[in-house]
Amino acid sequence: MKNYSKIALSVLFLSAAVFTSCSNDDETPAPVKASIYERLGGTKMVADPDNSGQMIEQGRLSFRKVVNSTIGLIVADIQSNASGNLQAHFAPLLAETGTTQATNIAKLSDNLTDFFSFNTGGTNAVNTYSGLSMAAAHNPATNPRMGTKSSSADYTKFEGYVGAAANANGVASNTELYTDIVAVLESLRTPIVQK
Amino acid sequence: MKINKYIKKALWIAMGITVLFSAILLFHIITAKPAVYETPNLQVSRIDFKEAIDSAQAIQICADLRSIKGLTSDSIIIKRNVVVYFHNNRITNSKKVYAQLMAKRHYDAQPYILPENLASKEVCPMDQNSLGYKVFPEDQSFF
Repeated sequence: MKNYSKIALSVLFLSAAVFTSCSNDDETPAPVKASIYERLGGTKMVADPDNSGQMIEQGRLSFRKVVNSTIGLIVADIQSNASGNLQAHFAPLLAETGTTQATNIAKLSDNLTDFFSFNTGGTNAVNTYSGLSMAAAHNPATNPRMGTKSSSADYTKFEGYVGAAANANGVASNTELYTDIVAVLESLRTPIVQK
Repeated sequence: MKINKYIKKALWIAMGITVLFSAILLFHIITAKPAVYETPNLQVSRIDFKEAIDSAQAIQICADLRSIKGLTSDSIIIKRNVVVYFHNNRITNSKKVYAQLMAKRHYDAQPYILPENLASKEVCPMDQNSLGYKVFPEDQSFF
């Protein structure tokens, strides 16, 4: 009986120590990492510099700037009959469509901005992506604005363009934000690479 | 007599199906909404210079381009001998921008013309600046 009391007392002390420790942990939870969208400005409303009188979420505007810079960098590298650039993929976007309809660039910019904003934490309705699936969007048979299918090397090159565009818009290569953006791009490699 | 009755019945059924399908089609046309884009008139254009552009020239070219009406706030990209810029195609177009840039300074450059085989032509026949387009917003879903 005496032995049982000692064991019971020991268990009580031990439990108290364990629960006290747990309790301390609960009081200081690990900080939750903000989403990429939040870190790019989040839902804070700012004036849209390209649509007079309209407001836009800062996170969405940041993504739009990076998307457009990426397109611009790719277009700058397009050279007739030169290999290694993404001419066949993106040149159709350069066609001027006049003022009678949304341009191909506008559609791509909007779709990519929606896609990246929504999938990195910008879940407000304004960012809802209603385009094709990644596999369908990168297949010329289902998306006429896609010049040709992409190889793994093409996609790596594209990631480089996005990285340079992010740098140009204030996201340095040595930051966690940059690494997280690259991780998102890497997660899309499988459905996009079809060659 | 009996055959006539069957033919009549078949015709009524065919007519009913046609009317039903037409009504469904009409409903879809009327309720269809055109896709809405944030900057629908965004266009990217490029000017190729004869020589590589140095940093001093780059600043000058950027300043000259920024003073032309119709360019968007997106970055002007200058790489090697190439300048890429974005503009609103309701306000200006690549020919006008090129002409205005050349009027500001005599640059040895040419606008980039997309080879015909790479151009994607997908043009709506409706002029968005026309009175009809503005007066009948519901009709826009047809285009």
